[in-house]
This record gives sequence, structure tokens and C-alpha cells, in this order.
Amino acid sequence: MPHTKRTEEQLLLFFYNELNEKERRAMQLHLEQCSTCRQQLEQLQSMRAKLVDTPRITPAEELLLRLNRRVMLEIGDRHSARFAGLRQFIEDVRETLSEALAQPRYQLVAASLTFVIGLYIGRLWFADAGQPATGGLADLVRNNYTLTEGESNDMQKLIAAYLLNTGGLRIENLRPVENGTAGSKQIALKLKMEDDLALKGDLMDPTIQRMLMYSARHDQDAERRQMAVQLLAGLPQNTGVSATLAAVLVHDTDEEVRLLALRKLASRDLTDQTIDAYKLAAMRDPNPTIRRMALERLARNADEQLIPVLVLITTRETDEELRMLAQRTLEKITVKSNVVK
Amino acid sequence: MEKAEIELIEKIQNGDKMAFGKLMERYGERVMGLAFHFTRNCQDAEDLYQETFLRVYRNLSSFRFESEFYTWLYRILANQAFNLYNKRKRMSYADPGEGDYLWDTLPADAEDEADQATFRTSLREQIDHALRQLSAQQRVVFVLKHYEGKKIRDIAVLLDCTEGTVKRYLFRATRRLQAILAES
Repeated sequence: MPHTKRTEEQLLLFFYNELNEKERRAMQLHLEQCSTCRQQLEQLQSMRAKLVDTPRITPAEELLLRLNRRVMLEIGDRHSARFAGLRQFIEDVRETLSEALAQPRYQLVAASLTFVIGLYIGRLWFADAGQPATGGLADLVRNNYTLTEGESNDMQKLIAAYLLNTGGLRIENLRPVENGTAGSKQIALKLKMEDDLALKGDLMDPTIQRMLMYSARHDQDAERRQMAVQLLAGLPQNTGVSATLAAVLVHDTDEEVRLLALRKLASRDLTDQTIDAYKLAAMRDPNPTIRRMALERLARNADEQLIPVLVLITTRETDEELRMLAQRTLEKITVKSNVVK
Repeated sequence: MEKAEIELIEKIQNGDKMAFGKLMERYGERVMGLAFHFTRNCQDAEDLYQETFLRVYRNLSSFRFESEFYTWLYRILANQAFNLYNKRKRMSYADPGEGDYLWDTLPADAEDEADQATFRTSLREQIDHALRQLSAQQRVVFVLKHYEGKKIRDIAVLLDCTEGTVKRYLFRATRRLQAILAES
């Protein structure tokens, strides 16, 4: 097949995997003879490699909830919009407090919270019967769940009453204060919690796991991040853990922590997310040891999907040994692919 | 189409607005991902997301289950992307051919600024820049091919045009991107 304008178009279709078997074979034969097309194909692969290197777009759940709420409001379903907010609010409260409050010590507090949330729901429900609700949960949701002073006071009183009864709280100061209205007095109490909130649980405890995942990704102290990674690695195969380790590998600023995350990831099953993390680490980690280890891990399960990354490494990597490794892996994939064909 | 999906759409067609919330939960992530690829800008992606779902809601009564629901949704998303693009173009002072330099004047988002020093970001900036140089049609076709892995014939159905047209947009987009990325 001679090199014509049509061949160039066929080459693009070949690159995009849009040719039928016969056309594909013809193009492969042509590529063996035509250096212009081979060069074109390399350039196309290099472009794809650049596109592969951009991070996967995953919108935050909160963003989608916010946008969905706006759409629901727009289509005139104030009920659903509000209840979407309500669901989110309850979910937030539940996530943050439920496990801590599940301890016997805090069960009454949990009941109090349920009561307070119930009050909000009641207010919203009744307010909606007539005009659009003002105040109550609707406002709470609109104001990013900020409690009004009165609501915050009510909640604190309920919690304080329980802690006082169980001995978790002591009164530090007690004094009468004027509230501005003639003849009316209020009592100001300053309360002190006996202990800071502390958690204890084994590794299988979901709250502990969540705290460890948070620590691994966001803790300011690198040693604690490292410890969290170490502990999380003790958990059985679990998508959450792999995702956390992958995030640490890509984002952590401390190379010791990244290295540890990479080592711990090595014994886990590959997922799309961990493959992406390996690719990014292999291409851009400042530490050549991490780049090498990531590349070796990818090379163990090398397939055609890896070609763009390998091409990029062979052209951009400064470490010769790594370039050679990428080159060898590329050749391995090509041989494997030819055998299959 | 899945039975659950059909039931959900029928509920919305019968006036159940709550069911529409569930439909958004089901497709939200995919629509947002694609909206971002089309616009390469967070604010525009949010606008595109909302406009798409509003349009879906308003037109769902005309959906007759003759195609996959997601194909129908994609088509609306692509059309909204064209509309948004044209709106932006009208607002721009100069129209440099097929390019859309207005978007280049918008500030980079915070995430980009934070990552500026890294290789990934500079690459991402190059790609954002390069994609913004494409016309709306070229960009939509390119994104559907590259990021969604759609076949040319499916893109043609989705955009209601011939395969030849899709190929033309795809070829131009590819050559243009190649040239821009090679320069940078």
C-alpha cells in the first residue's frame, strides 16, 4: 500500500482502533515499510500518553448533592430538595457522631440528638403546610448546617444534663447575671469536661479504620501518617484501604510515607485506582526508587493499556536504568501482543 | 435498558419528582466527569451539569425508550455543551478562528495553582490549553472518543450526524492537538 492521503486517514483510524481486521492487517504491513507513518504513529502515541497522564475526574459527592439540590429546587420540587438536604444533614450527623455516641456512656446523648433532629423535622413539616418554611431545618441546611444560638443552647443543655448525671462533667463556675430586662435574672454556668474525647478500638472497628484513613491522608505529622499507613496495611483486602494507600502514594509530601504506601500496596490486588496511582508515581515521583518500584509493579501485569505510559517514560525519564526498564517492558508487551495475534 | 431504570423513568414521566432525584444520583458522576472534560473549567462544568439535568427533566416526557437512556442523556449534554460554548463565544471580544481564547483569560482554579510545580499540573495545563483551542464540535467528538472510548458510529448516532462528519472532526482535533502539544 503506497503512502497517500488516504493512508494517513487510515493510520488515524488504526490508532483509534476503528479498522476492521483486514484493514488493520493491511495497515500493519504498510507500517513495516513506511517510516513516515511509523513516525506519525509514535507521535500519536506520545499525545495519548500525555492525555493518559491527566488525573481521572471524580466529582466530590458533596458537589453533586449541592448541584442536585439546586436542580430539584429549579424544577419546583421544594420537598425533595429540602429532604435531600435533610438526608445529607442526618447523614453528616450520623457519620460524625453515631459511632462515638454508640458507646454506652453516650447513648442518652444520642437519644437527645435524635430528639433535637426530630424537633427540626417537625418544625419543617408543619411550616411547609402553609407558606415556604423559614427557619428550622430548611435554614439550617441553607446555612451549611449552622445551628442558631438558641438551637445550639438547647442541644448543649441536653448533652450537659446527661454528662452531669453520669459524672463526666463538673461545674467550674456558677453566677447569676442580669439579662437586661428589669427584675429578670439568669444563671450562667461554666462547665468543664472531665476527659477529652478518646477512642479505643481494634483494627476492625469501622470508626478506628476511618480515623486511620483520615490520619494517613491528612495528618500534619508525617510520623503519624506513616504509622497510620502501617496499621491500615494490616487490614485484609479492602477497597477503602487500597484507595487510601493509592492517595498517599500520589499526594503525600514525605517520601518515606510514599515509599511505605507503595510497599504496602504491592501486596494488594490491582484496582483501576491503584493502577492510576502506580502510573503517576512511575512518571512523576521525584524519588527514583519510588519511580522504579512503581514501574516494576506495573510491569508485572503489563498489557497494551500501559504502552502510552511506557512511551512517555522512555522519552522523558532522566534515569537511564528506568528508561531501559520501560523499553524492555514495551518490547515484552509487543512480543506478547504479536503472539496473541 | 434495565428494568429498574425503565421503572424510574416511568415514575418521573408520571409526575414523581422525587424519582428524578434518584435519576440524578444514578448518572450524576458520569455526567459531571464528561461535563468537565467538555469545558475544562469547574464553574462551566457545574453550569453544564445543571442545564443538562434541567433539560432532561423538561424533555423526559418525550423519551420513548427507543434508545438507551444514557445515549439520550449524552445527546442533551453534548447539545448543552455546544450552547454553552456558543454563549461564551458571543461574549468574547475577538473570535480567533476556531479557537476559544476567552477561556484562557479565566483564572486557573485553586487546585491548579496548588499543584503548579508538579509535572502533572504543567501537563494538565498544556492539555487544558490545547483542548480549549479546539472548536466545540472537535472537542466534544475528541472527548467522547478519548475519554469515553466511544466508537465513531456511536458518536455519529449521539450527535445526529454522519460518520464522515465525526471522522472529519476527530481527525482535525487530533492533528491540532498533536501540533499544540508538540509545541508546548
